[in-house]
Amino acid sequence: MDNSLVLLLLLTPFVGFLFNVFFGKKAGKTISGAIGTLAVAVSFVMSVYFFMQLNTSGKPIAVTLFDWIQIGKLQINFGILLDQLSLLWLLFVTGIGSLIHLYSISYMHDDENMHKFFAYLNLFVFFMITLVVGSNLLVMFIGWEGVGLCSYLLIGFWYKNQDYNDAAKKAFIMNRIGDLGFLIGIFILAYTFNTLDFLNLGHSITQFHNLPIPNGVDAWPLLSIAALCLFIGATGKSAQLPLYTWLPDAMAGPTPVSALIHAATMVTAGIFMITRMNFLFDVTPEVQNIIAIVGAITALVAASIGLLQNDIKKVLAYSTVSQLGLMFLALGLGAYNVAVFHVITHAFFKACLFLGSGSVIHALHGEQDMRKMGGLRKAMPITFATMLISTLAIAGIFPFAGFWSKDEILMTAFEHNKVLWIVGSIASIMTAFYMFRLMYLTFFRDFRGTEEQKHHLHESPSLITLPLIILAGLATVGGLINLPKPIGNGWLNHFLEPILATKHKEESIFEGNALMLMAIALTGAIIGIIWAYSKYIKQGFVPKEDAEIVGFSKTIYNKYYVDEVYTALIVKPINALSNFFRTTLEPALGNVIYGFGSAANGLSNLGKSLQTGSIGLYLFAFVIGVLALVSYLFLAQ
Amino acid sequence: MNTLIAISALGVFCLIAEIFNLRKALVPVTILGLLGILGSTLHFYTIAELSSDYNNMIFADKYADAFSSLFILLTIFLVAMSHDVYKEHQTKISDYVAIKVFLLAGAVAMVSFSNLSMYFLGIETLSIALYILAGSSRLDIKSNEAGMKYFLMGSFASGFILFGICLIYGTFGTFDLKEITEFSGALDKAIWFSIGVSLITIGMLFKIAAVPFHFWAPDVYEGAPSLVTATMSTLAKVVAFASLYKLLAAMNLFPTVQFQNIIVVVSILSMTVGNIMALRQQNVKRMLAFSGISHAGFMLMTVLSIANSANNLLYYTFAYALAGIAAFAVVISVTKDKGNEDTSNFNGLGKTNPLMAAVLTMSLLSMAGIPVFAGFFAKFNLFTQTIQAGYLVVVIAGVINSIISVGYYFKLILAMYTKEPAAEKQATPFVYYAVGVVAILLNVAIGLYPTVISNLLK
Amino acid sequence: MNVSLILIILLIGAIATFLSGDKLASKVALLFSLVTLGCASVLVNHFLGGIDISLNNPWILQPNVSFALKADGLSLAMVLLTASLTPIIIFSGFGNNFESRSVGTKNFYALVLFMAFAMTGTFLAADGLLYYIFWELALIPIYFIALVWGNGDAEERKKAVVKFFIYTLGGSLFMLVAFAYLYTKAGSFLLSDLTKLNLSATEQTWIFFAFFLAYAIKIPIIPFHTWQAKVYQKAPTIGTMLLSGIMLKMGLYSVIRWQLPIAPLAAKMYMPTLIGLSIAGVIYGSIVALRQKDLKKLLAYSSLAHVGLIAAGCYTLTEAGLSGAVSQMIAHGFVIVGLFFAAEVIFRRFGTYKIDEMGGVRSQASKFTSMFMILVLASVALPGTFNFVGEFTVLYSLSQVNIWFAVLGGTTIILGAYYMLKMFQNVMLGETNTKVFAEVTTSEAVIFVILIAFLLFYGLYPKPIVDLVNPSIKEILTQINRFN
Repeated sequence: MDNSLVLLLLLTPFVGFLFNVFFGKKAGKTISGAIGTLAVAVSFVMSVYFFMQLNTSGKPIAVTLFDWIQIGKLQINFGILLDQLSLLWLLFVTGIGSLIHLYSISYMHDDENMHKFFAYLNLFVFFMITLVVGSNLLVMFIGWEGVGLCSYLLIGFWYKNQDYNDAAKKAFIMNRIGDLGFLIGIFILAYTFNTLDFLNLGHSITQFHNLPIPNGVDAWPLLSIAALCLFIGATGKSAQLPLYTWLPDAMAGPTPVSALIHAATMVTAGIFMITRMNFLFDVTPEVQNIIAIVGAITALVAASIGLLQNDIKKVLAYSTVSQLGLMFLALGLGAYNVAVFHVITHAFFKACLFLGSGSVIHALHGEQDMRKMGGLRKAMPITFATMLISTLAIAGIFPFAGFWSKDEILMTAFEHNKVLWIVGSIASIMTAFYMFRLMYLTFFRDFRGTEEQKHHLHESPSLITLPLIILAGLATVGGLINLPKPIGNGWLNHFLEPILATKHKEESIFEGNALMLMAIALTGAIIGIIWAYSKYIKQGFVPKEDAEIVGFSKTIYNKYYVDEVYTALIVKPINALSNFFRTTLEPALGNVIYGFGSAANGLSNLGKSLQTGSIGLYLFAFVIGVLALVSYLFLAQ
Repeated sequence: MNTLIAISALGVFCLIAEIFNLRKALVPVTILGLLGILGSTLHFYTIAELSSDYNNMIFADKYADAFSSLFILLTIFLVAMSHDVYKEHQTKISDYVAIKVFLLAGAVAMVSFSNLSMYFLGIETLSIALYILAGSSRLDIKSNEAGMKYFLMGSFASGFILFGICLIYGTFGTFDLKEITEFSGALDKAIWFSIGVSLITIGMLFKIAAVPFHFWAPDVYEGAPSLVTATMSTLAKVVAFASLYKLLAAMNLFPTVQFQNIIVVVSILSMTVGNIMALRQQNVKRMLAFSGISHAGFMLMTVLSIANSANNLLYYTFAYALAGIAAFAVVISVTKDKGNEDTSNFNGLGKTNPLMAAVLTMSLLSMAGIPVFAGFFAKFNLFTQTIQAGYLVVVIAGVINSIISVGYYFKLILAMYTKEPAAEKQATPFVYYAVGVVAILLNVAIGLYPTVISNLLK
Repeated sequence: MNVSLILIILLIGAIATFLSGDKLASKVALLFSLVTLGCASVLVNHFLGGIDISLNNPWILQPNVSFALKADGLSLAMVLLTASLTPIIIFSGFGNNFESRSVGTKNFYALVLFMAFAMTGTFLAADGLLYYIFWELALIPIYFIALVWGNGDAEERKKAVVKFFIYTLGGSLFMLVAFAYLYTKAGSFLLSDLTKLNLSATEQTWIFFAFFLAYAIKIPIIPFHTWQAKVYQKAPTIGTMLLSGIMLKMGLYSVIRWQLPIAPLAAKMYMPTLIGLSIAGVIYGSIVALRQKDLKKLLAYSSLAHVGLIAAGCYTLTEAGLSGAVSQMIAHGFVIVGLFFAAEVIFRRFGTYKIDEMGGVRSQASKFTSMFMILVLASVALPGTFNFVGEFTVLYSLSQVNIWFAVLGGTTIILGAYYMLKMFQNVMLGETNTKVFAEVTTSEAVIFVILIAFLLFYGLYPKPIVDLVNPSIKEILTQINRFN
């Protein structure tokens, strides 16, 4: 029974994918859209079912489908593990997934390749599910690479534009860099423990001290290296320093893609993986520190870049990176549950924001530059309302979802390390600022676009607004799942306890110190908002044209030139090397071989001149030969 | 041993045939006769009758019989082709055929002698026949030049051989091979003996065209009529080598380090010089001359393990000669009306005459030592033997040379299959097909079942 | 019933094709190749059923050579690879016309079958000399195929092909010398005898490198690869498929079957050097591929990179390394054939291999795009394809030897993605090309589908292949470890 249901959960999106690939075009846009959405919805229902089951029984469901790879002692099954963590992820992946599918039916309706779009989306959901439910690192890796592939396909969805294709390629390669790290980590664990199964790994590692030291080498440094490698993998997928640069470019894809893949689900895979492997990271504190620091810096850098972006989706992209940074900060501090909490709330409001921006772009026929927007409040009230709610949430305003989760992160940071706390706080102040900057520029004051656009301004159809409303609702109440005592009972923390190796000392309590921190955070957020208000509402400031931007702000506007640096340091040299090899070294190597041939030919020509045809010479040579021979034989000794 | 008499008789018959004006029947009859002789020789071989006749002038052992059979086989091919080659000057044909047959007689004498005087007789019979043949196309100045050159240098070499024989006689007071073998087995030998052997060796090195006694070969090969070139490069070469081997084996000279070193050096030199020089030759006959030089170098390896490499030598000579005959069958048929033997004549042969192209390709592959062709096993056996004898250096040199040799063998193949044909396809007489195909098939056959040959001298 | 049957069928097939005349040749060849495939699968079933399908007849007494064919998991896997790729390769030629050359179509297909014959022989031979003979024989047909039916400027082609022939032959001859030497020690060429020899370390070193020269040129391992790109480019695509899909596997197979078991001490002694060299090939090949302007050359260099990784796996001397190498050989065989066929399909429409003259295909031929895409993904070893199984196993074995080998070798998954996606973008995507690109024909699609189906199925369920191969890998490992 369960097995078949698990398969149902896993495979329906894949079936949807197959359908859309083979029959999508004939079936027509509406049908293919409907099928695609339905496929994901089914998975969602199944997830809910299993979630209920788990809640009642409390026992995770493990299913082994078949043996996959067998290398010596290392046996890797194609196994599925439905426990608290994976089900939590399944719920919001498939849930939000369904909403975004629904949204896309309307959003992509004018695109000739709509069926392909839904095919890719379904495929993505399929791989995402695989990633989440895999019972060992390698099955997870299938999903891991699979979602990377789908993100590649979807970023480059409008394939006629080579810039988009470049962005897609960049995303894939950046991810691959991380994936190499991931693989190396897998290798180390594999030959240290001869298993990749999460349960066995957790078991072996938690009681590693009384393990026989594997094949001669002391495994402790190995473990740290493994943990570090896995983290590198995470930085790729979850767009952390130094591999984050692909995410902003990934906005080339259609907006629903940005919402689903590059905000809500795929980019959280890194957090998922680290939480999965928490038992490993708990025993490697040095790596945890690295994670925390990287997370904090990423949060700050990304937020600061977000301050000055004018492309509405770019702003959201950088805010995503920065939010992910905060999550990693939490992970680095060992507060996995907190990170997960923020993942979920963030999924809600960030998805909503992206869809909202999509709705705006839709209304403006593809215009993404906020300098050409403004005053949309009246034209599209629902979009405005929902986005406002989500913005309040992300800015961390009480009592929206973001407030609770972000607050817990900052609180954990405060407990461990003041510096990290300050960095985090600054980042969230900036967040509040640029998010409201976005709101003001987009929805307030007067419209700055063309007259012609002004005429067509309209609220988006219900298929678009419905998901917005639902997500906005979630963004409002999402905090409930983990309200601190005594208001709530920290349900999430309890729920996640079974999968966390080291128990957390005390629940975060809603009093004293904590209250003070909340107050600080809140005021910070409000400061940010006021700052934005004064600048963009009071002074009615509108960002300058790209050309006029100067000084440090120019540096920020150009993302600290990180991309340029990477190009100069890595891409260009490699290509130069390639040219050198191709045009110089290869022929040279080839000529070495030819060299022998031409040398022989040269000798041959030389010899020809000896062969004059005069008997005298021949006889002379003959006699010389005789003399040499005889003298060697008889006179030499 | 009646072989020798039979052959001579056949030669005489050819001359008489001229008188009775039986030119038409001449070639077929000769071939039939040779076949008969071949049969009888093989018969003697099988009954392994070690006849020693004419007070030890001739001693027909397995070695002699086996090689004689090869010589007869080759002669059959050569005679077969002469019918078409000489159809212009009918009046001469019987002479030429007769000369070839006498040449064969000399050849047989050279491997079945058991007395140095007999051996010298054989050499001279063979050589003189070749001198005449080389100059046989009287109106062609190049042919005359070739004949002259060959004669001058050949007699020079013969002088050395004769001198060597005398010295040996002076040492032991006998020409008889058996006695010489006995005496030379003794530890303290007069130096004259060694000198004598060396001189004979030098003479024979000339005959097999080993460096540095090889200069005559290219010019003579090029100048002489193609069929004669074929005779020299196949029959004459293997004959000379077979008798050299027999002599050295009999002379108990080994093992003196110096002598082996000489052989090593000459062998390596011949292989290398031959191959290198062959690379840039435009004229096919000249190219084959140089390739012949390098093959002489290969065959010299057998001398390094002289005690037990007779069958390897036999196999090599078979492989080499058969490939050579096949190649020349094509070369003659393609170039006979052309007036020159440039590689360009072979352009597009793959299109105009696929069969002949295939034959030439296969024979070249065999010479290059590519598997399933006899040439491969020939070389391989040499290598194994020589490694066993402990001369890795020579083997390495041999390998490198095989690589070089591919370079010029494939020039012809390239010409045949990639170039556009210059002339239209002209009809090729059946006999060339016959000779070429039969020869190459024999080559492949002994390539697939080397045991057939390599067991002959067990 | 034993494996010699396969050889016989192929040989008869070659002759029959030659006799069948230019009209029928292609179909006859296809028929025989399919029969071979069927026969091969039957034999494999026999083998799995525990029936001994090996063969050992005395052939030559002096030197002592026997006609010995050994059918174990390893050789059968390679035979199956050959047998299943040959029909595909032959069928892929149906769209082309080989008439317009100096020699007719019948010779072409006859040569293809003959080459399959020689390669199968190489995979089966259990006697050193027999093996060497097949090894050399395989060279002749591809020489003529590339020379006569190749494309591009004739003079340049001639130069490249002759170089290829002489170069590879040269390498092999040193292997021949090694065999001759071994024979003087063992008195036989039988693999079973040679792997019993207890040669000194020095002897082994010499032997090992004599073999290495032959294999390094054939595989090829840098810096012995210089013949490859040009020949791949100049040869007709069928020839390229034969070369890259099957022939270079001969070298890798021989490393596992002959080189390592005969001279294991040397293999152990020089392991770091060998692995290092192979991995250098991985990186070098990938980097050169980055800026290639010619599609076939780019694929050639990608192939150079991939086989480098396989070779590295072989030289780890670990079970993972060897079995991974074998899986990767098979996977690479299928994917590279697919990729070269894609190149051919494009050439049929655009009449060029120049990448910068392509582009804008996707909007005109979505089916082709998808199939090409999948092949590209397979070649960058996306999980779920058979290539991933192979590559993962090999990299894993490298990490067992030294984690840095794994890291360096692993760069292939980055660089590979880089040049393959770049290629795909420039060839397929972008604004609709002015040139018309017709959608794939059914027969073309069939080939792609077969290859893709194979890659995906075994990507998810590699067990059958691994189970077939692993016993012989274990046996070989015991031979390798006989010195300690």
